[in-house]
Amino acid sequence: MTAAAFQLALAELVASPVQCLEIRERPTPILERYDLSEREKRRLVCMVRQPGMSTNCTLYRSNRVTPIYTLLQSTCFVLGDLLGPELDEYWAHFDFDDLQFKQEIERFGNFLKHRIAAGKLEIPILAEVLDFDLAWNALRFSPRRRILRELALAQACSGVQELRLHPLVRVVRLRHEPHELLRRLAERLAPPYDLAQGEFFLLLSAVDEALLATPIDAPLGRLLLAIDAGVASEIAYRDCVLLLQAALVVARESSRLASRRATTHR
Amino acid sequence: MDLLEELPTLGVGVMYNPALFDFVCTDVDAFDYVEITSDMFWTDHGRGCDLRFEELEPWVDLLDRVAARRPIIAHNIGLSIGSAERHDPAYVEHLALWHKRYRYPWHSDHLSFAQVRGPDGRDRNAGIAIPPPCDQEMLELLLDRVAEVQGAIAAPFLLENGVYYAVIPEQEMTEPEFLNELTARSGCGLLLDLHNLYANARNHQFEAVQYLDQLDLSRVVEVHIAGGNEFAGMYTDAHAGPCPKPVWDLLAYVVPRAANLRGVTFEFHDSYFHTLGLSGVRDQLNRARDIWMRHA
Repeated sequence: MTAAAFQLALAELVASPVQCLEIRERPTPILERYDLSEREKRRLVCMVRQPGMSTNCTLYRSNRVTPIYTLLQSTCFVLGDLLGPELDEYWAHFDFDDLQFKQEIERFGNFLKHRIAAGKLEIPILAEVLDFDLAWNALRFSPRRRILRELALAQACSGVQELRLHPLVRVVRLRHEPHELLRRLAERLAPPYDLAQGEFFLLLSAVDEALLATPIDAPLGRLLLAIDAGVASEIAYRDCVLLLQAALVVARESSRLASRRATTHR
Repeated sequence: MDLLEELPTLGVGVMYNPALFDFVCTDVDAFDYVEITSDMFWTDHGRGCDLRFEELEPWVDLLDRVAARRPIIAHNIGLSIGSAERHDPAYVEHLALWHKRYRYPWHSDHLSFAQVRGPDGRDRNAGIAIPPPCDQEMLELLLDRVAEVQGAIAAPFLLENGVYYAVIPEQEMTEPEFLNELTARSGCGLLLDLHNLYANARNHQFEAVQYLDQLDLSRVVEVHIAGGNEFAGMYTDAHAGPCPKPVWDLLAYVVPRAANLRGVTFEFHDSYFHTLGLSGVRDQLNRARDIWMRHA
């Protein structure tokens, strides 16, 4: 069906000003990639020569950056002038699968994490600010009431064994003092920052209606991250009770319950 | 009798965006209905997921509060009805569920394609809504797709004329001819976006009134009005604050000629809220209402 090939070609041109320019110069190599009729080829060649095609390309980039810029504001601010090149690199490797903000920022966040781990992005506070932004958004998009309902159901069922982090809680480890770090980011003061360094933890919680970020002490932060990673060593019964009462952890549901939940959602 | 003639007249409404969070709860006398892009009220985890559509609870809570006091109209963005290959019956089923819940008198989407299928079989998004060419082949495809939506959702379905910045040459029909044929054969209605029309006429140098004269305005159930701005060398449909004068003039021209007009919706993007303020939003709604009252 050549109409499908035409739409794919047009979508790929909108995403690539470079290809638009190439077609203007030498149409055949690019157009031969698609199963196009002669009329569809003429249409595309005509369209890339119109000023409106540049507008399309610009709008594509604007629409694609919107979720990232809207929801990862602090990360974008810390990236500063590097944001543009990083977006180019990201877009060169990842298609725009859908218009879902949640998925798009998770994809871009994972891309940045790989870049940081590979040593290609060396901004001192970037990793922790990105972790904070991603954790905050993960909770923003969490279906709070459904999760609380399911936890109540899980409590009513037998078969629970270990602890896991409460699904409406995230713990972010930072290397800089968080209160001052977040204040400066909120006020859009440009890094670098002269901040106390060490091991700091922020607890993000959406258990209550409002999403809150609270500093917690390092032993508790380490314990919660270990529970989240499933590597916590044995926890005293009294501590388990305290963690449960504070809604920081929940009992890990049995596999029987998990499968029943999946069935319910179909 | 044509279903469109039986629709209730709603009046002047506003397209919801987050800047209107308080307004739609506290200022209900300012508007007659609220239009929503329902896709913004859920996260779509994609085809094949057990729990594909996950509702955003705070948004849905707000919607429930508004729906208790004013009619809700759904104006969606996820159908991609002009996509040549993509077909997503689960999405249509989900729209049907939401229609049962909120009982929209009508609902709409855009006459465009955004989702395309790559050679690897995966869907990808074009990033912008692109109006398809006005060709016979596309018309036949759309007739099937519209029939599917109409079969699934028991409320009249409207399609919106799109904005385009690059013209597709060698089209077999003009846009009004295409829309007339589509609406006549499918029974769907038109959501006439006057700002899209104004932007197209301004960018591509044609007379918007001539376009309207060629269009079967009896199929128009709803009109969109909005503002725009110059960007990247073209006048864009950015929903950038108040409507420009030519859009008000077009509204005054359409109202007495569109016998089945049931609603006029003002749209703006929340990032331009500072150009309007709440008083500016009220002014736009009042001006639309004045024009409707004077010219109907």
